[in-house]
Amino acid sequence: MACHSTQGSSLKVSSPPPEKGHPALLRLVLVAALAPTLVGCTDAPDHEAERTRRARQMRDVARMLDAMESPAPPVVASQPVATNPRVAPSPAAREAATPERHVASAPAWRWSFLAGSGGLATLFAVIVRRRRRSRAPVAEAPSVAPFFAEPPASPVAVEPSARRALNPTWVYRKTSYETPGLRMIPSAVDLLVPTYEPVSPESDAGGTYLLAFLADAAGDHGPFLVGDTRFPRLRRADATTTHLLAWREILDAQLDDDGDDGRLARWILPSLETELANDLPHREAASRLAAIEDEARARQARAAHAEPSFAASLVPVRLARIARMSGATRLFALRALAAESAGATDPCLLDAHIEVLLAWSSWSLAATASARLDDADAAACTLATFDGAWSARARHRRGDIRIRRAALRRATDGLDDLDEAQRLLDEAYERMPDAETALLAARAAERRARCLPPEEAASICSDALVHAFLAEQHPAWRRDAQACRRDVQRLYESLPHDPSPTNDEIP
Amino acid sequence: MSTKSPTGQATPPFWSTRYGIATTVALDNAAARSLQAYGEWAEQETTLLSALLDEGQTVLEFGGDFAAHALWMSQVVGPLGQVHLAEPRRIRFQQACANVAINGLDNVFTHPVWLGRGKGQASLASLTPVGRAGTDEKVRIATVDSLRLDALHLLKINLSHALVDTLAGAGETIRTHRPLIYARLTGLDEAQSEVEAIKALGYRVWSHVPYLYNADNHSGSDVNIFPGVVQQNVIAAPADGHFEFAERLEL
Repeated sequence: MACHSTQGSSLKVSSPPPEKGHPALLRLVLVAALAPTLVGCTDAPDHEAERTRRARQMRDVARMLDAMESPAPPVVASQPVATNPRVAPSPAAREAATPERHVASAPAWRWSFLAGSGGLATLFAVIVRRRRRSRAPVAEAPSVAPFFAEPPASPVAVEPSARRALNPTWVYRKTSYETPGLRMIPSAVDLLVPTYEPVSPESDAGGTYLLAFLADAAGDHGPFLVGDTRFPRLRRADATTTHLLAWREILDAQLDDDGDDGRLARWILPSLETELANDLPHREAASRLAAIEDEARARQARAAHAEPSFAASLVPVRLARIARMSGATRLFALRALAAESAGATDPCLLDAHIEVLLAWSSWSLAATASARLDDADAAACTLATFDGAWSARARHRRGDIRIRRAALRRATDGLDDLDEAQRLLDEAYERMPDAETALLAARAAERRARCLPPEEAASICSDALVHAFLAEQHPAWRRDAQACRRDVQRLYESLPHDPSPTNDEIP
Repeated sequence: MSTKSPTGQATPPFWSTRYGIATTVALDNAAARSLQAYGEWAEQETTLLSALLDEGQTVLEFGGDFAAHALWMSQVVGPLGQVHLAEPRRIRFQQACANVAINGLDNVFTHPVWLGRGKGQASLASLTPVGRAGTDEKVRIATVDSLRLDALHLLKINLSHALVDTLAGAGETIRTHRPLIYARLTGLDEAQSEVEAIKALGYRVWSHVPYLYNADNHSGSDVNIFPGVVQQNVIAAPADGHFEFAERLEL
């Protein structure tokens, strides 16, 4: 890179020429010198008036010279000479240019001689003065060139004045016109939305201390326990491996407990271990998942009494193993897993069976996927016969199944399924208002809106947004809910809008 | 342990593959090399098709590939389903039969025919380019319709230069059963006419481009003997059905 000096050519180009003001100045001085001469050639009607006028003219000339000797502003100095405004002639000069005043008299000659001599003397004095000034060094005019010059490759001695120009000192002063600072109001919708507590320590799940410890370790990033209070499901959310390891340490300490804490720890641990295994490379994860299953079976064998939920606790592990299989191997493993949980009468096992069937359908296509959804729907109908939270869970499952079935069809063909899904999810939300159901309802509404004409879609979009906002209140579902809300907003914006929409249509 | 074939080549008698025991006669074929090296063949095809097949269904496969895919399809359709395997080349047909037999696949039916647009006989070289000199042979030609299948859920065509003629001889069967069609395209020159032939039957066609190497292969081999090699396949479904394949390129 070439080394650039601060005295480079760019500076010279942007600086004004030192002799730039001379032609204009000379013109002005000549005008000033000739003016009295011309005046002297005119008739003098009154000596007193003539003296007064001459004094005024001399005063004007002196002022003009003072003004010209003061430094010109940079903007004016940078203008080309040709564009300088022409100096307007004074009233006296205009009078002198009048043709009727050419007749001269003897006193006028004397006055004109004196005035001409004075003007020439003034002109001489000005020229001498200007020459002296031109010999003096000319101050460099300010230029922006240094701010755009490339930095030197090697250290170059920079003059103090240039350093000052490169590093301006900015002084900020408060004014009455400045923008007021933003005042953040956290969670404005909190007043409208109940706060979700996925598993409260006072619930019938027991495990008071364990849940408190886990919640303490989770913070706002997760992992979280969601769903049923006795058989909560692990949701990782934004939890890192470190967060999961902190949970595992807590759970490990409770594994041999005979009470609710121990039961809950044994229920959660396989899911947690599965999440940890998901962070490993493919082959390591496969062997780790097999080890997790073996360890869980060994623990169950050592337990004093069999836990009916044990098989259900292994479903996340086995599904994670199946997800790593390829080809028909996955299909055969899914068939085996579904066959094990088929015919379950325990609601927990039944729900796990539905989970297996839904996973199977997600890895299937067309009629095969549809057949698995039919099986899952039948199991969900059986689950609906149980009381309490299981009934709401069954409606949630059936709504989910309808959404998946609609996805297998072409857009408008799935509308009936989506309508039914919306109804089921609304019922489920009434029975058990949780963020997971709200999010699913939002998704159902969003997909319905895509199948409907624009005038109906707008109001469905508002429903979807309300549900998405509700789901966002729970940190476990916040990220998915935000994604859903963005989808709905994009869909709404893509709709052809009426010029004057009603308030109901504006989400 | 290995045995010597009549041609003098030493080949292992059996390989333990992902879906059963298998062996091949010659190793000059990609399917045979894959079975030997990885214990599987075109596993990404299997991944897609096993998501489409269900118990009790009927499959017709033209081009046996040493029954490599018949092994898993037989298990997928189960005892209530059927797998029909058509292989016109004599030795390969016999090899496929051997693999079916030693795995006890009694729901697999083998047919030593070329599935074309009519009945008769022809030299193999006149139907498809033969691999080596001296491997040409006379083959029997039959139509799909002549097989009189009670059901057909998937028609799988593996052989090149066969798709258009096979579909021409399967008009009645396709009209009756509306099966899914999965086929390997022959090449640049024939691809357009082959896709058009499928569309002419009232089908929608999507592209499927599986890699021959599966990193998670059965043998756990990290050596890729098919670097960057893909097959140009298509999957087609009746346009009047509900089948949607949104993530694939529709042709």
